[in-house]
Amino acid sequence: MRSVASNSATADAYAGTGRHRRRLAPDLVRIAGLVVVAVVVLAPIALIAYQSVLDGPFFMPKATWSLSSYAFVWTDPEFFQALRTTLLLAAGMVAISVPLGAILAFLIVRTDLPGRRWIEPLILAPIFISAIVLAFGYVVAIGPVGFISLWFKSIFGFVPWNVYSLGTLIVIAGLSHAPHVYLYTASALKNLNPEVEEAARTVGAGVWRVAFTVSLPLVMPAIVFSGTLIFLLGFEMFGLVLILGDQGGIVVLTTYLYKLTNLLGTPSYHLMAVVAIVIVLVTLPLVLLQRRLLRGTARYATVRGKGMAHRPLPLRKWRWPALALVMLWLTLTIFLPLAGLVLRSVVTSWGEGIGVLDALTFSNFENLFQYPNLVRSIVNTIVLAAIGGALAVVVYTLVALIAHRWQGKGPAVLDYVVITPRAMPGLIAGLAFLWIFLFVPFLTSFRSTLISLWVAYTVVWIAYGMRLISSTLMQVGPELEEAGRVTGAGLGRVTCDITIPLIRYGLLGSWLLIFMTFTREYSTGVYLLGPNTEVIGSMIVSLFGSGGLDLVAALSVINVLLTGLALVLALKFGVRVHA
Amino acid sequence: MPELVVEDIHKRIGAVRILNGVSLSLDPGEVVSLLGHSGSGKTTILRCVAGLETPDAGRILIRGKPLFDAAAGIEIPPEERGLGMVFQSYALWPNKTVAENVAYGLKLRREPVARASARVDQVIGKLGLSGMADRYPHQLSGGQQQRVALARAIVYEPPVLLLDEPLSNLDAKLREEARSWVRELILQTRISALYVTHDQVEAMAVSDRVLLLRGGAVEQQGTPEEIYGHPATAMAAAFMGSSNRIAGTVAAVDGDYARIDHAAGSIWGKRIDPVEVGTPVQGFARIERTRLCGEPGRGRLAGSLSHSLYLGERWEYSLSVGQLGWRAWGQSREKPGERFIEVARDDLWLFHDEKRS
Repeated sequence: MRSVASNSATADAYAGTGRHRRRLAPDLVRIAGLVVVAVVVLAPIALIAYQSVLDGPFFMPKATWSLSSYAFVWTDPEFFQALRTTLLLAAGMVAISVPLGAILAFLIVRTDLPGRRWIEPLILAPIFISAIVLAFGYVVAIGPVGFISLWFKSIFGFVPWNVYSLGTLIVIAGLSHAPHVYLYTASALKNLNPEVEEAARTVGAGVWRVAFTVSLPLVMPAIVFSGTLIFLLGFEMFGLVLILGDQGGIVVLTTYLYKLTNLLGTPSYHLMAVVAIVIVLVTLPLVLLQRRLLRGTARYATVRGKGMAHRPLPLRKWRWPALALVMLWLTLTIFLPLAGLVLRSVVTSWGEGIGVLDALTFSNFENLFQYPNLVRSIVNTIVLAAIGGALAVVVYTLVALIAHRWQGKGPAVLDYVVITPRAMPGLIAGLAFLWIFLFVPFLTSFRSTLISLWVAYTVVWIAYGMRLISSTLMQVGPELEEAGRVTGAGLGRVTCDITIPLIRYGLLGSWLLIFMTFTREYSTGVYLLGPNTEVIGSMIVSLFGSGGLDLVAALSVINVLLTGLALVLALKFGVRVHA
Repeated sequence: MPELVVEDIHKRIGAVRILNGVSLSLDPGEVVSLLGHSGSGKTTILRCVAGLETPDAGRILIRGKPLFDAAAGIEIPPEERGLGMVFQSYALWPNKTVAENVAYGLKLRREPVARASARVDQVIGKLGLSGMADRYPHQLSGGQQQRVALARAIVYEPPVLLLDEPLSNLDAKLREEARSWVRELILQTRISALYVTHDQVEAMAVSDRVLLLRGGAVEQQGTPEEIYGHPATAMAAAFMGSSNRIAGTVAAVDGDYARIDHAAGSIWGKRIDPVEVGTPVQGFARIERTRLCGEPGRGRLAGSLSHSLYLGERWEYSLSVGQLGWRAWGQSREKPGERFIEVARDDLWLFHDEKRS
């Protein structure tokens, strides 16, 4: 016993003196990288916080410290109305999306639902369609003079729905966000050992009892996680409300902020900053909560079993009703708005008494090319998504490599840094970057180039991109890299010769997903919109405001085609859509 | 001068002490096994030598040159240690061919291309992998992958080869063949090797010396014959081979020997620990040294045979001796019933029974 004690005393005395020579240099590089990432990523949010406590735009010399902006917003009844509507919208979306997405996931992953192989990619489609495009699709399909509305009215003499009501908005938002719940629930269900369900069936449970008492409770962490995600997305929602809420005077925090832009005649940056801070105060805790939940789901994955080949649960008499439910959802969420959109893009004008065939034309697309800024927006979108997306993947990979196999607290700090922008809606991030590119001296020359947009997009999506890359990196066994080190390659050499080649397919997949994400993005570009920085998303927002619906329809179709093309490619390469 | 010296290394992860002062040395051309249960720290020692883990204290030297010295603040990164390592999962790079996997170490050492490829061909040929040079790891069988991993580790002639359970992913039959050619290969190449395994038979087969580890410290070391035939501790006796265990109190002492009185009879054993009359002891007797007898006699314990198992090359008898289960081997089927077991007094090793003292 005595010898053990003296040994451990030696160990204690030595502990902490030994480990220097090797770790020092790589650690310095990593810490430097972490600092750079933190500055770039946290600068916009810091600027917004600073702006919110000034009584005028921060670049005005006479602006002084003041809480007057908070007082202004705090006494504005419209702000509280917007806050209430936002909460109602987010809660309503959770109530619709979560059960729907969970049931869809169970049906597709676990049962013998007819046609489930080809339904799965369709279910994911709404994730890759811009909300603003989707909203516009609903307007032209079931709006007051929409195709479906007019058709319904010609038969029954009236239209029972109002696309501009809050109820419709919530239903549409809920339906179109179910795929997010589907993604997380489905991937958790795929990891679930089917034997637990088979065991339930052997003791006499039917398919629905299995679903509600075994399968879904076992993937509850994933469902709860997706619930917080939906609430977050609801809180940040901009495009759907801008287009569907405008007529009925429905205002949420993001659209309230958008309208503040020119409220006082001069830019009311200080008021906008306050609203942005209010939004971030709600979303940041949600993002941090999600981080915790996600770690919980990762632990839950131990339910995994060995022989995963299993027979799907037979739905029997529920086969066709279940399929009908899925088809109804697909129709309402995808076919309806997209069909409306495509139809609207090939007619010049629309209203009661006009036959579709008479009005059929390609002139909307031809007209598009009359406007240099619209042509630029298409080219810019493609450049930003393809080249910018590739560069973003390079950045995300470098950032992910900072944390890769880094011992100690570094990776956790980095993780917090990169998820922070997730709390900033794209609209607000775009605003912050506008300010940065307007007033940081050596950056002003980039203001009217795609570089400003690229920086904003890359920062806004850094959490998503990092998740894509890290999940690929995690699949590289540590011993493959250790074997390289022992064989004689340094850390950098191992990264270039072993790690990067091993994740090349993952990088290709990430690029396709980032391409889709950047193509679909609209809100980040709204405030950065200017000559040479047009993208399809922000042009749609701008054109919709000025009533150029023909062009909006054509642009939207092009946007959907671009993302669709990338989605088809991604599915062909077997890219896992879920990070 | 020894090829490799490990001096009193300690390693702690959080509150858990993984290594509690391990020392060992490896002479040129010697094969030393680190043997122990999982959690005994054997793989950690290997990884500390490789530079993949950092000990908290101690020194590691190769040919007298320090690779790691906690007191002096020296730690050479793994890539500069020039060692060869075979991983348990082989860790072959799936995106490189067999030839590229093997050649990588030579490329890093800036070997001229022509000489490198000649050397790769030579090693690949020696390991019976000729014709596989352009295949990818996933196109090889487990046994072939294992050979590629070895080829990759020895191609640049490292002074010391580290092997981390290299055969544990092979099936039983292949493993028996492999341990023989691995031993032969290591002797042929005159390389020194540190070999981690939890399989005692493998450890004895491949190595000149075995280090038995327990709880991050060396329990006993010696040649395979010493470790197996003369265990110094109860743990060593229990770990090596298959043993019957008897617990009791010393009733009499006679020189190197002591007597245990047991309900089933009295039996003499050898005092490995200096046990005295009245101390609680535990005794171990290898199954192959336990004889089944029909009649009572001196130094025999009474028991009853409950059943016989047919194992192919022998029969195994299961007996209850008092409260204890005992096993013995023989060449014929025996009917259940009253029997006696006999162990020569040199074959029953007596140790302090720490749990009962």
